[in-house]
Amino acid sequence: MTGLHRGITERKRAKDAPQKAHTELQLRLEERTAALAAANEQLRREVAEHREAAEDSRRLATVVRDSNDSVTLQDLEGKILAWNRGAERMYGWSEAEALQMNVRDIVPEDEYEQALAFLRATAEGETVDSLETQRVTKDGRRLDVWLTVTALKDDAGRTVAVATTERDITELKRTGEELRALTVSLERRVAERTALAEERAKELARSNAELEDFTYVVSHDLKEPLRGLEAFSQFLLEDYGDKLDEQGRKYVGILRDSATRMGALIENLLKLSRIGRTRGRYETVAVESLLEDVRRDMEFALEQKKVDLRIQPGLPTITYEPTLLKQVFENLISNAIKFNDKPQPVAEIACQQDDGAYTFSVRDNGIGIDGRYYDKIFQIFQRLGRREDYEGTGAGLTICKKIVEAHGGKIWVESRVGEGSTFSFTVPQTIRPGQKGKEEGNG
Amino acid sequence: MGDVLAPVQILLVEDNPQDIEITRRALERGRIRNELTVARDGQQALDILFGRAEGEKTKPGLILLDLNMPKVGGLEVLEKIKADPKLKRIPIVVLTVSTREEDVVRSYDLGVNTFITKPVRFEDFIKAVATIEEYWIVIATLPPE
Repeated sequence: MTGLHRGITERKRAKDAPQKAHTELQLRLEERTAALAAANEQLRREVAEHREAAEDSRRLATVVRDSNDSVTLQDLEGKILAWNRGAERMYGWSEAEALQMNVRDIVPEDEYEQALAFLRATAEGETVDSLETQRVTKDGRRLDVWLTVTALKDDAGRTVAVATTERDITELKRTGEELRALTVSLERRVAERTALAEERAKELARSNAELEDFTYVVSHDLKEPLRGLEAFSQFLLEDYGDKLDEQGRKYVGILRDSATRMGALIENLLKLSRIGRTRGRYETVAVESLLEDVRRDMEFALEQKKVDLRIQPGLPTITYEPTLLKQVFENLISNAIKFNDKPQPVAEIACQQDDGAYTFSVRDNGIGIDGRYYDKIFQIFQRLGRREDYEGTGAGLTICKKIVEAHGGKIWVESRVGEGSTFSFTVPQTIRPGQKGKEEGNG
Repeated sequence: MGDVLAPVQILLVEDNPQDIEITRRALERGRIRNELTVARDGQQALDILFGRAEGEKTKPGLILLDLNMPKVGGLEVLEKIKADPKLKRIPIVVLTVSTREEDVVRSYDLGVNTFITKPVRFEDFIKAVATIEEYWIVIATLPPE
């Protein structure tokens, strides 16, 4: 470079210097402003974030503080660092009191070792599952609690404190235990009752069986001498009738009638005892055709008394022991005829179906029965009519009752004196468990 | 079946005097001529049938057998007769007070020809005996002796 050149340059430089300084200054100012704005922005963001975090914390703190569960913090020596309202409510210690306490103060003595071990294990980073344990309140009550522990660590990852959540499950447990105890006691009582009922049923069955056997045996043994009485009074009449005067023959006749009557009584006793003895020959019975059989068998009596026997058409088919069902109808129809003073006796048989049962009824227009005797007539050998007026042993309705009840039904009478009676009995549509016989569906 | 003109030999095995008399009388009423031999218990019946009794060995055309007897009971008598090749074809009618199912079943299992429960009324008793006689002596065809 020449000197001239140098001179020009220097002059120019001197002339331009203030201008340049100004520009640089301007530039730096702008840079600073931008940096400041960025910092400002950053600051605002951070402040917002902080505020949000603070808000979150505050909300969380509220949740923790107001939780019904006890939430507490303690250091590794067990000194209590925080105590929420749940803890205040559960244990009765105020926050101020608790902060002066150690965990030891709320742990029962016998549980303390376990609590300490738990604390240590948590501090050493072991994850301990929640567990059920016990705590003590300020007034000395023991609580069953469900305990969950979380370790709080510093930046270096060391456990510095332990957060504990305890839920009071005393009530829950007590209720559970009560329920369990109640269930156990209920089960025991049910078992006892069942055993008792079974024992009773067995006893009853045994005594029933004995009674039936007794009746059966007695009836049989009674028949033997009776056969002699009956036969020999007849032999007496046959062989020596001409040697007796009228009075004598009359006496022998009474002897025979008595024997015959006793035979009928025994026969009925036997029938009664047989209902209990022979069980379970259930068959499908078309009641309508069974009643036609009854009508045929009773033809003589029906014609003699000019009885109008009406059988409702469309009677159902049921499951029953046919010979016994026949006996029931025969007895009821024969009563309808026997206790009837009308010139045109009517016996009407009908059936109604309701509530899983058939109700059969035998209605007559006979002499009727006073309501006072509705029960009495079903008792054995109870008669309302005089023997001279109405023949029979007085066992018919008892036999009916026993048969009907042995088949799971009931029997009763409704009547108006002078107008007639209606005897009704039910037959369940389904066979009871334990009963033999085939199921059938006809209704 | 024997000669209709000759009286039919009937063996009644019965311990009860009353029932012996009733049966005898009922048989007298029947229209079939018969000669009645009475064994008072099962042992006596076996003695008569197997020829151990006094007099001649009898082979009846019909046996009326009671079940409930002292010493040898009716079922045992029945079993012995039905096990004997010479006697087994004689019709045996059990005539008893028993209606016990096991007695009925056991009797038929042992080969009884008919089981009848003694009727209480004499009229019915006569009818039963007459029916037995009529059926086994007149109506039924039996194997040759």
